[in-house]
Amino acid sequence: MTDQHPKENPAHDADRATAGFDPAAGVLAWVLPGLGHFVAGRKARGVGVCVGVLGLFLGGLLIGGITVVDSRSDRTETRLSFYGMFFVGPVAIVVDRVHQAAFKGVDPMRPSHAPTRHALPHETLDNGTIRSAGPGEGPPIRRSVGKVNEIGVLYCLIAGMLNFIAILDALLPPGRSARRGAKSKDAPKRSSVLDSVRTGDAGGEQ
Amino acid sequence: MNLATYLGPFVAAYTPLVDPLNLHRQWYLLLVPLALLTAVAYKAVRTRDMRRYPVEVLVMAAQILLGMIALALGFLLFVEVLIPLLAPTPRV
Repeated sequence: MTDQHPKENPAHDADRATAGFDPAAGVLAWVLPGLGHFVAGRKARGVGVCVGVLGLFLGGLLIGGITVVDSRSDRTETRLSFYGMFFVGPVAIVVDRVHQAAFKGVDPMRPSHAPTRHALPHETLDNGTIRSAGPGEGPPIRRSVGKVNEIGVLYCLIAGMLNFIAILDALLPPGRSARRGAKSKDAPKRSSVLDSVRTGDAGGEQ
Repeated sequence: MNLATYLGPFVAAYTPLVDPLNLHRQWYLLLVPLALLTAVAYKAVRTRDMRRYPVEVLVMAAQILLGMIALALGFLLFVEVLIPLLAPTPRV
């Protein structure tokens, strides 16, 4: 791990001061968590982001099953959470597509425009259509419920939110700290002027 | 007694990434990896000196866990002690 903060690495600080805004790194950070940092030369940070974000997303799927990633869920919290999971990257979209295509089906008893749904315990999926289960048949998956579902959704949502922070850092890292450092150098001057005004040493007519 | 005997109730008919784990009673244990992985990702972005990264990850994970324990104790006291004091209800 050789990545250092600019304050401790003057050469790195100079690089950051000239780059400013890096849209390619931002896009890469969305495509694969950590890739934006990795390509920008901050490899240790990229690996950390990748392990953390993908570990959380994978952990959420392992705990709550694929039903925690559902953009068309009948549960509002899960449906809204997908907008946060979107920031994990294409992997979240692929998981959602697989979920909709392979584990949900059309209910022939409902109107044709009705959304697809999961098969209930006494039903099964047959070529994307839900029908009553015969002997030895059942739904292709068990839906997660209760705390396990909530924690699974939480894992995947936090993964998305953390990668959102990482995307912003990949987009705007360079120069940001340098500018902040320049501002902090100016700060004492401003405060000294203010102090002199407060103490009455600012000059002017009296 | 082998490992399967212990894990059996939790992983019965379990297909990884598709089916949920049967951890309804042990759900609070899942907060530990949640805190750790959150700290791993967050500190990768925010830490100043990557030489201190592992230490900062452990410190942040501990802070998250202690914060959640403190919140849980606070809510427990509020619900179990303060509310019955403020609005006592007769027990049947």
